[in-house]
Amino acid sequence: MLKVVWQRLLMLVLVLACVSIATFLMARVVPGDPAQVIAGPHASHATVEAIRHQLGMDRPILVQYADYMNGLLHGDLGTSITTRHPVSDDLLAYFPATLELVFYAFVVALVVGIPLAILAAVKRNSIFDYAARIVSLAGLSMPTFWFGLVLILVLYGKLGVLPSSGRLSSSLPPPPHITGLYTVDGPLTGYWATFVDSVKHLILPVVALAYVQLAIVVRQLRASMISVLATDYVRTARAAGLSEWTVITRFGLRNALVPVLTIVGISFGALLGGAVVTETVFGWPGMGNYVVQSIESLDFPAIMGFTIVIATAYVLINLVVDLINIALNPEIRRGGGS
Amino acid sequence: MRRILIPVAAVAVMASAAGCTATNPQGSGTQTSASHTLTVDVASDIDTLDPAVTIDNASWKITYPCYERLVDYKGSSTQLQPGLAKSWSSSDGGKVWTFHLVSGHKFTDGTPVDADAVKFSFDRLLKINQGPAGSFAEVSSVEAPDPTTVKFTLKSPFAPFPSTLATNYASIVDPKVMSHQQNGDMGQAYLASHTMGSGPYELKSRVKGQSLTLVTNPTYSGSKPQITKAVFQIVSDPSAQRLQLEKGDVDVAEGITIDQLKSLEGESSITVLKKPSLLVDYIYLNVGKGNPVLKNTKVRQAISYAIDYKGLIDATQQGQAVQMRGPIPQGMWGHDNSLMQYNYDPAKAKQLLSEAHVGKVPPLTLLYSDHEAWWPTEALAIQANLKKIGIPVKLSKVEYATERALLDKGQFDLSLGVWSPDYADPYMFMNFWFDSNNGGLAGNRAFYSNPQVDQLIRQAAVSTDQSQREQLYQQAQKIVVQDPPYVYLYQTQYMLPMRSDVLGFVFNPMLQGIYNLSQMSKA
Repeated sequence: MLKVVWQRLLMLVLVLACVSIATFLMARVVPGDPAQVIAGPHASHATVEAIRHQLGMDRPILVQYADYMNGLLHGDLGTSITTRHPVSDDLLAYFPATLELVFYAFVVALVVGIPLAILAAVKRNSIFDYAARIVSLAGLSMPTFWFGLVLILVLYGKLGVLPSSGRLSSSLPPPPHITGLYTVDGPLTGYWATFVDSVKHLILPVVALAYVQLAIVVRQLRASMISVLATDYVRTARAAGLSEWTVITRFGLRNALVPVLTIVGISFGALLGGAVVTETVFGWPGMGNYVVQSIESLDFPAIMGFTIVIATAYVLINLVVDLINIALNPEIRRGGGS
Repeated sequence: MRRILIPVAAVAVMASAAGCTATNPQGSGTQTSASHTLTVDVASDIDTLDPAVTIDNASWKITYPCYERLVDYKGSSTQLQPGLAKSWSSSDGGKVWTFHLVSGHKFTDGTPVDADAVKFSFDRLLKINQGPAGSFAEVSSVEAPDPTTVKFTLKSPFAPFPSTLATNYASIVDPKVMSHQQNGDMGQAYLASHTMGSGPYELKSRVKGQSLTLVTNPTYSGSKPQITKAVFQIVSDPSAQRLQLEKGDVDVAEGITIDQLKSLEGESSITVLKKPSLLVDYIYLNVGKGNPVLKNTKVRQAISYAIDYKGLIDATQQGQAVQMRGPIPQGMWGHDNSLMQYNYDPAKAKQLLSEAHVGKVPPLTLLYSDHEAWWPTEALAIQANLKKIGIPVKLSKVEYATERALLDKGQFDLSLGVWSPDYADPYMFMNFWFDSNNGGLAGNRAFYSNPQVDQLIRQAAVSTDQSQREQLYQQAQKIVVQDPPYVYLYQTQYMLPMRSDVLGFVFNPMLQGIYNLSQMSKA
């Protein structure tokens, strides 16, 4: 297991080197000049040239890259061209918001989805199975923005029980920054009103985002469970007189979870890059909106910082998924084929 | 297995605990606007709040009420009135401008606003040399001979100079910002998220991606505003904004789309303000660097006659716009209401095209992006209009940044564009659009060159006699309408939905998206 960790950490370094070079070059090859964007629509050539010089964009590209990497190795992600803040400050403000949203959405998706899928697989072709399949199909078919708007319309517009957008009511201050997750920092710092308010703000976007993930989990796990439950070793386990609970959890779920977790891991990583639609509908101040704005204004340091954080998160999530898979599957743990 | 299930179970318990709390709300999760609080939904977050850096009027809505300037716009007009300066005069043929300051104004920390602070603000602006500095390119030096006198010396006479001083760029900043300097940035990082002005408000808090809150400035010398707190909250989704406005959770919602505004108009609790804006939408005909057929005046006139202006306004603006009459829009002095206006006349367009003797017109590229939501529709309509007279158009949709790069290099035939003035002077239209020295993004996006027009507009830029300037601009307008390097499409209508109990809002076309908070109130 330790070998896997070391391999993955080595891979992280390689991935970051490749990603940084690719992003850096791509950002500069695309037509468009950030100096012109920040100089404004009416700027003269002299002003644009002065800004280009201030940004160091008139230097050779290799010098710019070396300079950037030197900063990166010293923990400096540079300064955003548009917000004038250190990119690390911006990411610290936006990343926890997305992490909080995506994390709870996956918790809900797994907590609800796994039992639903097991029930559907075990009671195949029963009312539970049909219900699970309909719920799953609806989740995959419904556009997220539409489902989000329906949630807002009913729970905010008609019933008025939940807020419609944002992470916190503007009348409340955010809790002091420890993790950046309001649901964690609130209780840790005694900001209980903020905690309650942040949970209320989380419910609708989490439900909207969780539903799609839940649909994926149910669909994948149900199919996986059905095929695992039909295997010889499960039949043997049943013949040996093991309880149905043991058969389902120890032999069925344990093996069926492996492919599902891989998909969930990839999906989790992708959403950390910004659940753009959900964030837009619910005015959620996360990475999605930040990176879209950065791309529109060709804010290279912000785009680079974002890419590096997401690449790191991806590699780490894959590492976690691999470790879970090793724990679940003895064959992988022993280094055998899977 | 147990090792894995424990954390999952712990999270599940935590989540369900959170769920229990949430389904049992302690009070409402939404904010009720008090009678002294104005809550505004804005569509996106701002970039920086430094007046010497930002060119985005989304930021100006925060900064404009927090700073004072030497001069201000008078009510809803583009005329100037005294601000921090009680009077001003020009000498040396318009090269030297002297301003006399009023006394008693203070920054939020109590420091008096004096001539040194004015000098500091302009020196800082010019040294930072970002987009806003472009409006003050003519400034050679700023002097403060005594605490209430400021003298600007220009490189050459520049008639619009006083109107540049009413812009957000010309905000007077507390010199103490230098105590927040980092790495020689003259306080840019600090002012990105703070305000240090002498206006009626100051920024109390900014939560990135969520909200910005203004409160009244205790040291403000003017009368005490009735709106003591203004909250600008970022809500990207138009439908969510509409619901919040309808429920009365916000007082103003800026991001509601035109089609949704129409259905809001019938609601008694909501007023939809409609005013002609100075934002114009037009087509650049690349005379200088585009397809050679565009050098032919008759081809350009034919294109101008081929456009179905009303159909275009209906399709892209739901009818909420006014066709332009020449380059200077209504509401800006210098606008000539007797100027010739092109109308939709395909027959005449075809006739002009045949008189042009250019043979079969090759396909022309029409460059545009998603920068304005209506551009994709507009591009299709223009393509259909020009096809009718035998001009094939190839649509070229790119990212906004790419579009700007191509515009600057002149790599297009036709392009959609919008323009709004930085300061209240026809110079912003005439000299920017038509001066042959301004080719590319700087303003003359048609790369048009006409020595006679150059002479008229350059003379208008230096004359301090307003009636003479108006006359010169009107002469130049007649030429550029007959010899059109642009298709003058329409000026948009500014529409703003607000709760009917919001009183005192005055729309100034130069301050679109900016609220006169200190004069506003709630019933």
